Amino acid sequence: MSQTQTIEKILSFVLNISGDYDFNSLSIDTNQNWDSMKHVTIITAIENEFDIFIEADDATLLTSYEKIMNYVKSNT
Amino acid sequence: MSIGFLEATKIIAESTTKKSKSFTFAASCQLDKIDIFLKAHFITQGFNANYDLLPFNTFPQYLIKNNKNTHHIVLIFPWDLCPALNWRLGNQNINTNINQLEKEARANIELICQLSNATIIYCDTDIPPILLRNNESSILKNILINICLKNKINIISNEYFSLNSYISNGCPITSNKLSSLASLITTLFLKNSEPKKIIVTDFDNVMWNGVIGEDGLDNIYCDQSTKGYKHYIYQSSLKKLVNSGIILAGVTRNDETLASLAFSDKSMILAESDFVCVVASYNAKSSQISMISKQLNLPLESFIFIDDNPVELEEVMLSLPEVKCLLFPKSTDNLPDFINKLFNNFSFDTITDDDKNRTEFYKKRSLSISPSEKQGADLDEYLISLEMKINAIVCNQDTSVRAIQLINKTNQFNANGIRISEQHIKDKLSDNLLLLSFSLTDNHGNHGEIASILIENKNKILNFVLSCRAFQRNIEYYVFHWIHKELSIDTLCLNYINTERNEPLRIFLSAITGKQITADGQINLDLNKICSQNRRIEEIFPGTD
Repeated sequence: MSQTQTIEKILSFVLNISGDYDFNSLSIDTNQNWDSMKHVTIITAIENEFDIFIEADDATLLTSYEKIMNYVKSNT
Repeated sequence: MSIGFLEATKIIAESTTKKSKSFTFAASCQLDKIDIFLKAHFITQGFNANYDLLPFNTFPQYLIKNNKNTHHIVLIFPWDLCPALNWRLGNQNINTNINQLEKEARANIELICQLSNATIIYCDTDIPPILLRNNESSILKNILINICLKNKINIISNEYFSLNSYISNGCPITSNKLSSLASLITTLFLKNSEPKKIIVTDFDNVMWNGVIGEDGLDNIYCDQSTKGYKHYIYQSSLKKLVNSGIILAGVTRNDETLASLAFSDKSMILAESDFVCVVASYNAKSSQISMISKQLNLPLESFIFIDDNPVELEEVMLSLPEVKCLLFPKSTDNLPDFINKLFNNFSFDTITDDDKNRTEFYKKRSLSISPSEKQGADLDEYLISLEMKINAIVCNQDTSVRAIQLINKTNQFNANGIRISEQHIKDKLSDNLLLLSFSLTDNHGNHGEIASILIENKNKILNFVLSCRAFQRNIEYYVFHWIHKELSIDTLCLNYINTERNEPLRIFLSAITGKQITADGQINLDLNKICSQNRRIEEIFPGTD
């Protein structure tokens, strides 16, 4: 599974997204399900799936699909 | 066993488990992050985890309330024993000493241990520097560990701790250890509620290094030598369990005489008498385990099955989800973790004389056990998930070495046991002799050349061999598919001779011809018929040539 697919699967599962979805527009501002608890789950899943460690300061900034993609690309 | 996040979501989504286990998961911190992993691990053991988490900041009240009607899983940290050790408090105004802290820890652990029906886990995290004298922090850490050990509390190391996670979201467990912790919790919980009583172990490459049917008694190792040490430690551990009243059974793909012969090896720590029974059969291991369960009148939930072959484990897991399956490690470095996980399934608090004599008691019940011939689980879906690829080559003089070795070394899946000299085969390769070699790779890695077949005049199989490492993967079927498709051969005859050890080959021949093969001779094979027997072969071996 590619990085993109893994991230999209995580976000789909945690934010309950189904069907065709424009992930490029996905952010904490555009998806009502993306609350603070879901954010913790997303960060946990990203750390777990990519075996990386995300500092708390960085985690608070990963508030969109694009930012998560860029972070994972730079840190794996 | 560690399960990734997405794998955990898949396990939960696909679960058909109906049985549930209820408990309260208590801690002074946030534990929501572990939810998906805990649910997935319980499902892999055949149960839904139906549990409550404590509302934030209610741990002290919970301890005082002590609800006796529920099972408690309690995760504690140094600051639950000595609140001053909480990293989130800061420590600039704390004025205390080691004796005060020890006293406080003892009082708090007493309160925690008053919970009835509780599984308690202590995470031995680093502690903040509130004690400034030399070594006092280390001494305090050791005191806390000792207090926990004396109270039979399970301990996990500082590796599980993440200050970053604790500060940012209230969960002190690092994301990459959530699955391991969930696995431990599941094991500890089920140890109390569903105690294991019997270990069923595979023999070849588990009890000893080597395959007795292929390598012979003189070439299997379980002594304190480099080759045998891992198996020596394993057998020593099993012996300790047997002496503590755990029942041991053997299930092996071997002939009965060969399985017994192994126990004549003087370096074996376990004797045949340590086993309540040894079932030697080439049929599905799930059927043998099921039969042992009935004969001994022990529930399948009390069984642990150990094998080095993931395919065998999967077959048992699919057929008997109640049985706990453990993969015997390939690497010696993974042995300590494996042994710990094995021992974690049993409770040794009170070992009685009855426990120690348990094997003798159950032996009386197992006198009439003989191998079952029932079919095992349908493994197609699992085999497809392995993404196996086979590379077939028509050997020339340069590429024939391993294929010839296989013919001359293999005993169990060997058409006739006839050994042929390397030179003889090489000399005739360019004439009328065709030597085909098949290599296997899957998502676990490269298994190398695992099958070869020697064909004369494109119509007579002089020999056909398959390494025992590759049993149960349908590779023997694939070989005929490939010959039929790539060489356009419709019929072949095979020179079959019954040897002392080639029962697996005889079973295969009986299956593909539809009749019991009992006598030596030429067996006619209709490749059209064989290829129609396994229609999923292209799914199991995708993209192979």
